[in-house]
Amino acid sequence: MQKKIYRLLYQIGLALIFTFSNAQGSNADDSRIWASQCFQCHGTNGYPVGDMDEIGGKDPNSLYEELIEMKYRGKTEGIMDLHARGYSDEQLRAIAEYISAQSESKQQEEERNQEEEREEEEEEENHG
Amino acid sequence: MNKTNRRVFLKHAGVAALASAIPGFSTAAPSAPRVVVIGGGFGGATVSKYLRLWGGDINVTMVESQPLHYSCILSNGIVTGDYGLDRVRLQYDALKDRHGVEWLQGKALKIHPDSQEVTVRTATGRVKLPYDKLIVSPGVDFISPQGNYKAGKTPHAWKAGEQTINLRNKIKNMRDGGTFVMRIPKAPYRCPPGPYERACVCADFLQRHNPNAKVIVLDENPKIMAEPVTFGNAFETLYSDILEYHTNVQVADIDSPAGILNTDIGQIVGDVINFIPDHKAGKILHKSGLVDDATNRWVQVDPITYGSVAHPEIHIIGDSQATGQPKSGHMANAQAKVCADAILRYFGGEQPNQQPSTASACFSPITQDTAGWLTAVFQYDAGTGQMKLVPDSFAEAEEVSKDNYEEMFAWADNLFADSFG
Repeated sequence: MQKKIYRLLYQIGLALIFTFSNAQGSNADDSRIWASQCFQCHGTNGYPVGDMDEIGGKDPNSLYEELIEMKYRGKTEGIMDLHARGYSDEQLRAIAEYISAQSESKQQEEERNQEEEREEEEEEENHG
Repeated sequence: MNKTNRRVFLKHAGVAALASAIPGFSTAAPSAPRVVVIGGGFGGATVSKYLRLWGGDINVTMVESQPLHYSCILSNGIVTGDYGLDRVRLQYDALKDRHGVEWLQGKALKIHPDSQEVTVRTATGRVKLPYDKLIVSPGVDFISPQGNYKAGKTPHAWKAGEQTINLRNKIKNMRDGGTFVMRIPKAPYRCPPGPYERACVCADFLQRHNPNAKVIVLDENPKIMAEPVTFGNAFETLYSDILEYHTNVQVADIDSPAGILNTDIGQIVGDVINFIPDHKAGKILHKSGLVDDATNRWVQVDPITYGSVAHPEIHIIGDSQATGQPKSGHMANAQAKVCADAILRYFGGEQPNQQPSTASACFSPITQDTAGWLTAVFQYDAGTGQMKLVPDSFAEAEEVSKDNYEEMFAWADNLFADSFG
């Protein structure tokens, strides 16, 4: 019996370690799979490269409302309206919450800054 | 926690696990779970990245024979000379340096499911890599047609790189008024809209540069397999003077050096032949005895984990698995995330997400500056145990446009970055 309790405690300890080491990334909840399907186009964690809408860190309610509008408007107006139709309302809510909680990685920030600098330089050249 | 989970879980216990739990400790502990990934395409790159991004304390080793990857996505623009091979060149640096993926250049020769090892041939000899979980994402292999088939003479260009440049040069140098013949393989094949897209952009190129040329498209399938309205319109309007499209064509044999195809609609002679052979799962899956679907071409998996039905600790993602979802880089990325999540939960003693979804989107150029698109979402159906297309999410673009063409590059660059960056 004592052995069993020790083993149980041991396992709980390990599970805690694992959860802790995961904590930096995100919680392993169901929304992770659904939300990460947005990242192919909108960038890892919702921070894109180039000309695509940034969705990471946005207000969860606005994200959700926008997705619901896309899902239910009578006539589809583009790719996103189709994607929104692929998920239940609960999934869309979970996706919005997950994406809203994501922050930009250092690399993504650096790349974005470089890109913005390049654009500014190009603009200056064009006007100069 | 089931028995197997507990066993794997306990195997990785120890002081090292404690050390690696300290935030900022970037490299996985030696006793952390070992995941080996075979193949460095979209599936392999994404699963390696997300295992490290979401998991942290996991040893991930990617085995890939090539030093870099050339994306098939956007590669039809290379065939028509709109840009060079460098546009689709993807490096493994970010996976190694940013995400801590161990990268081994070598050819995976055989999987040993019983001892949970992979034999890999490297420049310095053969090594055996042990794994707790194996992910196999080798893309497709081709089934050689009957006859004197030489891929160098009749390039498929269905894996990007040398073959793409080969086809590019052949089309560019085709004689005035020559005939370009394309053979579309029987479904399922990689990238359902891809062959029709290629027919369109090649017809567009030839109309501009070799106006007396002719394009003959021989499709083994009974109809256009993706974006039928977009491609059907393009064939009937834009390219009606230059392009002939034939459905249900069986090619009996090919003579690549002579440029001849014997088919059930007669002998077809081409100055340039783009013969895309039928597909099957990557070679290593055949060699390791893992191919088990009814057609003896693909590997059956559980779409909740992408674990093989026969060997659940071996996961197959991307083109080689038999779930019936479209075979594409975008879908391989989608499945990689489902697979990474399931594997991390497994090591953490949790059940996989019982409601996985995957999403597909792609843009198809129709001319040198216009494109259409196709999109779909798949949800797991517990009744059948399969991924099911959500009908309302499935559509092609209502019209081709220049905006779509511009957006195609934004889509591709983000897909490249989400997979390799």
